[in-house]
Amino acid sequence: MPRIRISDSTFSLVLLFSFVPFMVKSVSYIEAGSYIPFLIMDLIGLPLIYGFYHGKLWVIGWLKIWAILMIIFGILRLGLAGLIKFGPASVEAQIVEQVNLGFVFLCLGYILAGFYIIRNRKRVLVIID
Amino acid sequence: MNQVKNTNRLRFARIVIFMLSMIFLPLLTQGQSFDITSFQRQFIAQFAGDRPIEGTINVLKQRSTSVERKIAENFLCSTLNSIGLPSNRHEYKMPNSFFLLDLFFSPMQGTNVYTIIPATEPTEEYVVIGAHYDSEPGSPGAGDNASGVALTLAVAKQISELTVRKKKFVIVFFDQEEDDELGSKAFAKKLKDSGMNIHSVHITDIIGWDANQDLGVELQSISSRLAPLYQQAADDLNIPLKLSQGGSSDNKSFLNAGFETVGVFSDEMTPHIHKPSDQCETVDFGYLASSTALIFNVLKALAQQ
Ligand SMILES: [Zn+2]
Repeated sequence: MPRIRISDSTFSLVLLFSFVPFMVKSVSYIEAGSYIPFLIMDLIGLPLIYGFYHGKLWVIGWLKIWAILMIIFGILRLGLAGLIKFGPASVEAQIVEQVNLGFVFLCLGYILAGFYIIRNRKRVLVIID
Repeated sequence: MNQVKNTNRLRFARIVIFMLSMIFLPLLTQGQSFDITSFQRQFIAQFAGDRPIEGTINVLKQRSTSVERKIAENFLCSTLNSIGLPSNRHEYKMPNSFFLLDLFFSPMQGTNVYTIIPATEPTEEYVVIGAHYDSEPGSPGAGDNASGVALTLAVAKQISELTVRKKKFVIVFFDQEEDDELGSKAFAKKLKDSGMNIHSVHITDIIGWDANQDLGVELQSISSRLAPLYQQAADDLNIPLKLSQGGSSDNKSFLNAGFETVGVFSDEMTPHIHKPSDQCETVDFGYLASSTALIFNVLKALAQQ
């Protein structure tokens, strides 16, 4: 059975960056008693792990879906941040506090990482047996 | 020889003075009883930003952001300690009120402050008294709900001085009532999960406004078991009671968790609620003292049962 490896360390790092905040969030939500973010992480993460053992095309396809989700996520999050800071949206003080410069940079990071993954995903995948 | 005698006399005199002071000092200090109104006035002035919290430069113009709630939490702990009670923190995380927000933001987190006053006899039955300590953004929250916190603190002090307590008392201050009652939801869950034997829960909110000067108090969703106790205490103090249903504050969290719960509020709604004008000067301290006496009398009766 072919196994897939990522041959580029920058790409691995970007992919890792795209996952870590979600991992942290889903664990923190388990503490809060909500399993929804964790389940969503599983729905996204398990096909990737499966793909690395089942073929390059699967991984390329999956990475594209993940990258598009990240771009959408980044844009939605930026939009929400704008609504909360400047719009009529009335939310809890603790959510308003989360919308700061770091929050905006993280959103931009997601969007850029998404485009980077889409552009480079085919180049960096190698099949090892 | 004379010098030795003098030294011995001096020593004897010192011992006599010391022994006399041991006998009379407690008698003197016993006379200085706990002045509820001056305690509550001082507390609310600091808790609702009328002046800085003693020993700091922090002025709590509101208790809404994480930083302000932290300052309020620390002040509550030190106030509990100052009236001779230990303080504990219950830190919690809760999902956002709208689950889709969970995908984009971190979970809500906060800290309830509580203390447990032990019983004087063996028992595993608890009575819970609570009030929320956060405020709406932009409002100093003197009425909502520094008043309820000040009431609860004064009641806690008086309960701790009872010579007979046949029940344990949980005194708790909730975080984030203004954010979907998150603090009390978390605390109700903690109580439920711990399997503690809870006799009843008494929640106060917005209890510093009495425009018509009748001392009236609203009791929300009171049970038939608690009603006679409140009625008796109200009759003794000449307080008219208004009964209503539902749960409009932290009492909702405990009602939903299945606890026997009563919400105690002013029977008139303050016009300053959630406004910048909800300041210390709008609190009716005579009314607050009367409501404090009502709750204390009920809890004292429960302590003796
Ligand atoms: Zn309130």
